[in-house]
Amino acid sequence: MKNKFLPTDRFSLRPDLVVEEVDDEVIVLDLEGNQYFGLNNVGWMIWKAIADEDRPLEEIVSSIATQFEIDGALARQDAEAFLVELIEAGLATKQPLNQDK
Amino acid sequence: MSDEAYRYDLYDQCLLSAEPQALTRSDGDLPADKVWRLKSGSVEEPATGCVHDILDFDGIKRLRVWHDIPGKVVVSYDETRVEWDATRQQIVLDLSRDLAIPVGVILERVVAPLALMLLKPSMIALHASAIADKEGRAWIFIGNSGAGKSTTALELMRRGLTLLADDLVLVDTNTMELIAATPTLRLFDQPESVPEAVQNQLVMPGANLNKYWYQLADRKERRRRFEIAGIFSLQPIREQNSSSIQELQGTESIAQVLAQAFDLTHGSSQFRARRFQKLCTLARNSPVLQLSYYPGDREKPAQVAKILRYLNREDVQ
Repeated sequence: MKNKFLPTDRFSLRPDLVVEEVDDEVIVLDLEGNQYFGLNNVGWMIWKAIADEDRPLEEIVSSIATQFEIDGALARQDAEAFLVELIEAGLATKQPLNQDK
Repeated sequence: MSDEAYRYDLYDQCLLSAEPQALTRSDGDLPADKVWRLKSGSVEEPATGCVHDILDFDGIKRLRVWHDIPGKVVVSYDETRVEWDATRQQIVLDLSRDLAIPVGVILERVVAPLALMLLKPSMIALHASAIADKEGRAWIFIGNSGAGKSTTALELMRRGLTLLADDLVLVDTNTMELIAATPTLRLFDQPESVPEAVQNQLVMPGANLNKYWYQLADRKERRRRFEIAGIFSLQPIREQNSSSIQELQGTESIAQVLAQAFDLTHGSSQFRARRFQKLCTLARNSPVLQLSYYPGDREKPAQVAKILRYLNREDVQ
């Protein structure tokens, strides 16, 4: 499967989103779109890596592979699928390539 | 006549009035921030700050709410205007001459929930009914219109439980307590179908049955705050013999509660975010139980027996 992002890509979340934890699930409220989403463990890990640590895709993938003991390619596939969902839902954007880090 | 000639309960607040009102008499002492002076006067509709504008269920009476000035809420319902002023601890009533609904009902069912929700950040309102079990804990019933919330509350009351609220439930999410209202019910039925009622009033004509508001005798216990034990989401189904109770988690539980939580038509982003956060707090601290049941015989509501069996389980805390 063709990769959608570069390993060095970084992402930003919309600052107006409301995040709450209920039972074992994290729920994100999008007031602008009048919708809410549930995040599972992997999604929450990716979310925190973006929101709190501004980590590039390659580091996020590495963390997923380690944490959940899965193959790197599968981890990347899962991460990219989740990031595409976030972007298509209007919750996140990919940062421009020329930003210095 | 003294402003304190008449004392009334309104949820967990006390109203002092120089004139008699159609409210529950109070005999308790409350902190100063829960005591309000109720008086008649002129209330102007603010020019700005409208947060809610909607036609009532009859499609005729218009409800508007303004909250522009901190500590002050103005409600206009039909031709009645009420100013709820927390800075002066007073409520000003500007009543129309031909008031079809008693002012006590307007205060309890329309004005107070809106004012308390806007002025007290931890409050939320649910479209729900509620009873107290024999241990004094509150159980809330949510569901779409016609799901059987009021019928469930009435039938549980007839089986020894205590009616706390119907149609509208106020919850303090800081303390996880339900704040009880005057025991009333709104049901599609005949006036004589609720013989326990001390009075009834037609509120909405229906195709086959009219909707009546029934007032019941006040509870013997004057306590107004009840610890919430859980929330039942009533889901009528078509299949007989398929009833079940399932505890919901995460987004499933939030979906049920969100659908029945009061919202403002023109609420700010801050209000809507806080509303969501408070509902998440409620879902975190109270089990949300989906009760799927076949409505069946109207004389023997199937969900009532199922709820009683659940409440009487040994492992229910």
